[in-house]
Amino acid sequence: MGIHISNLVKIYGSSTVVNQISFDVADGEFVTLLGPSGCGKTTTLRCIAGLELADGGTIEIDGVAVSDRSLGIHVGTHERNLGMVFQSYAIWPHMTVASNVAFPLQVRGATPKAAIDEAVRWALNIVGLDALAHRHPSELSGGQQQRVALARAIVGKPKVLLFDEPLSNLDARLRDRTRAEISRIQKELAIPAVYVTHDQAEALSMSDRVIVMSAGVTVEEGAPRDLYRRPSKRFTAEFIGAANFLAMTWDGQVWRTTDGSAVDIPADQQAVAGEKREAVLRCEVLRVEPADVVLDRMHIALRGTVRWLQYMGPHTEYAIEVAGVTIVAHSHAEFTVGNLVNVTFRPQDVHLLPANA
Amino acid sequence: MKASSVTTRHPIAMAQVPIRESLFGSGKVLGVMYLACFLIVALLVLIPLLALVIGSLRNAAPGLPGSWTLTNWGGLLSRGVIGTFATTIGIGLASSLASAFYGTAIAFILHRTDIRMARLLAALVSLSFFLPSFILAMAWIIIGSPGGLINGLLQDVLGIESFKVDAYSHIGIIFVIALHQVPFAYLMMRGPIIGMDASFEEAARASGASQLSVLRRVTLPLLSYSLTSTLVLSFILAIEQFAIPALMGIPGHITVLATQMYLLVRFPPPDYGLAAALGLSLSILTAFALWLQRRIARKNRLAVTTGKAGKLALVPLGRWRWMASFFCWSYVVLALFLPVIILGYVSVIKYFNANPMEAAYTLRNYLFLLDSSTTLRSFWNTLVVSGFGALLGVVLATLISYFTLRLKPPGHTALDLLANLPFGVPGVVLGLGLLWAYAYLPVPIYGTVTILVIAFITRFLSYATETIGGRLVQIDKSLEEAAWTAGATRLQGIRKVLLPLAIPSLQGAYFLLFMAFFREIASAVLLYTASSNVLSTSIWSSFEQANWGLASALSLVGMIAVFIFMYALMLLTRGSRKGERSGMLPGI
Repeated sequence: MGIHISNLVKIYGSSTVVNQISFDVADGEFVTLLGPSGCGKTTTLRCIAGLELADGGTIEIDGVAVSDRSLGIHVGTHERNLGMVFQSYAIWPHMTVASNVAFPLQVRGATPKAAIDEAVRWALNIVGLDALAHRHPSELSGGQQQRVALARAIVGKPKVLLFDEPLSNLDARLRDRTRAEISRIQKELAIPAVYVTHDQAEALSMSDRVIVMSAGVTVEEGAPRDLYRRPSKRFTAEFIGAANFLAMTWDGQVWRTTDGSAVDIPADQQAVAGEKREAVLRCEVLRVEPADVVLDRMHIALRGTVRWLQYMGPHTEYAIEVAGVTIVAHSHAEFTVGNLVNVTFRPQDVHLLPANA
Repeated sequence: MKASSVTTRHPIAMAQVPIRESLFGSGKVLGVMYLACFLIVALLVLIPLLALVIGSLRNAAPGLPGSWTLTNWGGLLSRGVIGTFATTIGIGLASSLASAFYGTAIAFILHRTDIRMARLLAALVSLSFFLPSFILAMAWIIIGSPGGLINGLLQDVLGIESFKVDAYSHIGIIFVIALHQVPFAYLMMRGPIIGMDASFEEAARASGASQLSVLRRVTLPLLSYSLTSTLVLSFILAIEQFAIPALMGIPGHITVLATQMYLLVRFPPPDYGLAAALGLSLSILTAFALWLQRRIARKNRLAVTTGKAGKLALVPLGRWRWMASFFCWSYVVLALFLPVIILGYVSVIKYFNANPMEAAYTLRNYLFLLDSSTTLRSFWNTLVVSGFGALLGVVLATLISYFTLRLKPPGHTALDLLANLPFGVPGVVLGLGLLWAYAYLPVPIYGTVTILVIAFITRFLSYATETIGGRLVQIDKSLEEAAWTAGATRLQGIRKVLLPLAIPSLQGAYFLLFMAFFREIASAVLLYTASSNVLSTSIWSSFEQANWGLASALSLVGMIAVFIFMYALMLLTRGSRKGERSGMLPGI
């Protein structure tokens, strides 16, 4: 049944923070709301949780309308059957790990004591914290607290799992591990999940589907691969990954860059003569080569000068001035500022944005 | 509700049914509790204030028929009253300057230098905060009045006739008010001094500033807002101070606004109307100063946003250490040790004698305490008023804090304002307001302990809401939200998450209210009768009857009893307060 949201609106004072957002989350699906801070993603999540009173639109969870202004429906947070993981973890410091996890079952009152203990063991086992059940939260590391929050969210077998930037307080290494863990658990339990983040790596690696948001509206949605490789909006290309934008003109036969180089982009991207479009070039598909190297015929080459560089470890980031435009490329080759170089790429790595991007 | 009024402007939400009004949205129980809490606070605060306003416009005593008049307000312009205003402000300024200076200096020496026994000194200074003003004044009268200890020593022992000290003077009053308020200034300045971001000073030292110029050009300017704020609050407390100017000023014919009100009501011919007008104008004065302080405090928050407090470097005192020690210890001696020793001495002698070698000793004062049913009753009344009244106050303050800081239903700002309003109303003024009100209202509580409980709760409610509210805002909202998402109702969230986490502040508020109720005299002095005597009023009336010995014995026994009670309470609750700041002072 999943979640069904249509035309959700949330207004604070004079600003519309969420402006007619609509999306569905299928049973077992993992959907991520991705966007910069202030784009309305967290507010959307809090409306689903019932922590915010929506100003318009409808929210259905598991086939039941939980929020619908036109009908005057606003089901209380505690009656929505949720599991939610907060950015701050929100582990209650005055309860042990086990009592934190038992809380959702105790407070609803329908489960006998033995069954609660069993469920707590089950949930703690899933997150790998069996041994710490009787610890107090202050004795746990950030990563462990995070797992307690997760166990607490899943213990009641909720109809929907909500994640509000749960990994943003963890250090980088732990974040990678926990990311995989959350994905695995969500898939195992097959509970529909809505995950809010501003981190593209989290969005791409965990989600079945990503919804890119900006200024309260949906920019674009799709599977992670499609969004990364073939975004239909400039905002998406800019926000996810590192990208260069090349102005292209259709001369009737072929797309040409501003310096006149022909770029042989696959034929479905044709247009009327003289039409200008933007092409997306990911920094990591570019190669930087010495200007005197004989070119491979399969590659397109743009001649430029290294203006600036930054050694990053896995690669070096070069800013190369090509026909008045600065292109950023990630390369393993070694150059210094002022070197004359060729920036080369394969035509199939160029993605032409639609006219209305 | 704000959101729904905006909704009408939005095309999507246009012409839709307005959703449930949020007052009862979070459950009927909370809605009813909110209404009840609002009503109680409104009655507590508005009844005495309205009574004062009405009283100031009447030409008869409370409860008697009379007619409307403006004479009382006109009376404010008489030369005597203007002189009283000038005296009040003069004494207020001098004593607040002195106490702010001493308090800040002590806070700085104890927490930023390598002085010895800093912890002991800090504990003693904080302890002297709880020494009631009237007990301090009594002790200093015994020490410095014309027939007192110093003059006795000068004359009888040393044979000096040409030099006399007189505690019944402006200087005497300023000195004792300042002594009394140093701990307040110390506690106000301690937080900013300890909490200052170490990197500010480190940056100055890294830029090449010497120890002294770091202090002068970085530390003090950073503290200037807190200092100003402390100064203004000390001024407010000084001008509404009643016990000290009453005990020390009335014999020497020095009147301030608070004591003039008292004289107008207590001594014939009474002029209740003029007293009400005086009280209201004193309230306006304090309210204005309070408004000023709030503005300063708000600016302060913007100016010095402290990040993580690093380890502040202690200033080495070197050869100045003995001076700093002398400075701090002399305060503790003057404000705590000496008064307590003097009271102890006076309580065990038959007739006052400045020379302890020649005094006739007796235990009759203590025996009298055990024998007298009046004093035993006043102990019992104190237990009821302080013990039970403080409990009521904490319950009310908890509700207010929850509503104004968490639930924020419609009207919560009005509730906040109402609860804080009495802070600007001096104790005697509040007492007078209640005196007026319950002379008219058909509620027979005048002269009972009930009216004392009402007066004390009203007067000190904001102390408790500050303490509890300060804790509530520290408890992250998501802790409560997590409970709701886990299936808890609002009430369950409060009971299982919010209250357990706020418990230390509730204990702190109870402690604070208990002590405040115990040492309060200003608002009680117009309301107590023989049957509703509490310890403070018993001590007060013994002293007024010039029974120094009995007053001293009562003071000592009372203080010891209260400290034992509070210590027992602290031991009982220590487990749950581990690592918490006790919240001794409202962080106004």
